[in-house]
Amino acid sequence: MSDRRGRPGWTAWLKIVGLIVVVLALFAFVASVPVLFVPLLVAIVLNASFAPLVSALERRDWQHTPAVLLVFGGLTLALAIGVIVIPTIATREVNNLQVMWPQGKVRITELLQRTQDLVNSRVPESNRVNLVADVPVRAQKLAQDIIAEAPQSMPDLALTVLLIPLFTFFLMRDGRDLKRALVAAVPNRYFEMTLSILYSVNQQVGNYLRGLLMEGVTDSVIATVLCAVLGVPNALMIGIVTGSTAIVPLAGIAIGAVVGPLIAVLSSTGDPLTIVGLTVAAIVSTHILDNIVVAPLIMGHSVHIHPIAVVVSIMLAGKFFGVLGIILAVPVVSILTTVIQEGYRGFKSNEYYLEHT
Amino acid sequence: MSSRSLWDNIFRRQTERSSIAAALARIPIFKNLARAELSLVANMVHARTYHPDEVVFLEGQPGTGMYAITSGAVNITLNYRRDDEILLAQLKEGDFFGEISLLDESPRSASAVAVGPTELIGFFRSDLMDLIDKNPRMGNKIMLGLAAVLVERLRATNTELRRLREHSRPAASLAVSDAAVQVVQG
Repeated sequence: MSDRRGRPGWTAWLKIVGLIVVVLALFAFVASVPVLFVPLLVAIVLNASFAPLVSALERRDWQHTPAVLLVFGGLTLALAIGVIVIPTIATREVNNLQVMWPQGKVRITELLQRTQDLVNSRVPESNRVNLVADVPVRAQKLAQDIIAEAPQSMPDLALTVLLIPLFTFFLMRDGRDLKRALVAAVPNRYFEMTLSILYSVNQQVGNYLRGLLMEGVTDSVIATVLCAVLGVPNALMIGIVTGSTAIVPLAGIAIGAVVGPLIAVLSSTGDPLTIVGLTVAAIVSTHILDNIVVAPLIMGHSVHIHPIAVVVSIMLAGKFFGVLGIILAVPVVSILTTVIQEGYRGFKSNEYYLEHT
Repeated sequence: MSSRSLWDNIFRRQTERSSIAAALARIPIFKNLARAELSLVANMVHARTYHPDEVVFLEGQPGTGMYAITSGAVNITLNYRRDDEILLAQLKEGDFFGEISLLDESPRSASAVAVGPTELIGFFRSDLMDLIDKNPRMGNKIMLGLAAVLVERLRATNTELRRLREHSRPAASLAVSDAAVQVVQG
């Protein structure tokens, strides 16, 4: 089992490698079925985000199941209000957009032309891109692709929408029992180590996901206020877009910095370049405030991962799992890091054990 | 048939929880808890079964929590399976050990090994932290119970220290060591 100095021998290492292989195989299997993987991940995020509410009710002497039912009921109500309100707002916005589209199209073309002029005056001719010709063609192709794919993805989307609340409810209600069942199945030798791992993972990832949610809301408020102060039209919508995209690491800033100015240009009559400049200034200021004040305050030191590891994991997750992968890359890497660190510590402390048994 | 098994299973689970709650009620750390609170703790603790000579934990391992013996016996030893192994105590049903680990992560000061087939209940620091977070009133009761146990152990240690000093030192230095003991006792 181990050598004379108490280090784990080949059997112990074989078991460790075997365990890692089994976990990776399970992860790969679930990941290969997106219709299960996506709702499960979203349910885990929702469970981690709203678990403190259940705990808060339990502190007020509520039983676990009624507390879960109340929180889940509140979430369902919020979702139902969203389902009723969002299409109404969306329809109104689409109608507005249709009314404003001919004017907006002219304004976007004007914006592209002025940007093109700016590019032409600063960039050598060989490196120039034709914004006025290329951007509308690419945008049209993107829209056509989305519309073409929509009917095929509708059944999966409907199933995902149904599975998310189902998984969330059962994770909220039975999460503790599931954890206990998992711990009960672990051999005595690895039992304390497993408990430590589960506790650390729960603490780190829970804090991170709740922090992410609060960061998104705070960024929305900051961006809305900044846009309103700078006189950018449609400040609330731009604020919501900025806050929502802020939870997507790295790519979120770029998405927000493109979508926000577009909304501003479409809904204003002022000089398009000035509007874009003010909107980008508001968004960039929001992200600077986020990095300097909001993130350190809210996120604290919930996740300890090297910045290079963060960038690499986000790029890889984005390549294999898309936007959801980008959002969840940091917590997943955090889980893996915690499991490896705690596991290593546990196996190291078991050296003496392995030597004697 | 299946519904009968289901009911059997439910009743067995309830019986298990009741017996765990009854076992917890005998541990001084949980003495301040009401019956309903004991039942809640019974849902949090971990029931484990150990074979004869199976190690519960080893000296030097990071401490993560305490154990109570519901059946069987556990040997508490120093230098386990070495030539200079010392048996500190043999604990029986109703005894508990490792409670200091509920407070910090310092290494275990001795090894715990099951003597025969043994059933233990494990209550861990993560469970206690979770409980303090969700139900601070209950958490405080357990912390008070834990403090009472530790104070009792400290008093016993002081008494033992005084007894040893009385046997090993000349009378002149007894006054000084007595004063030191008084300071420790506060």
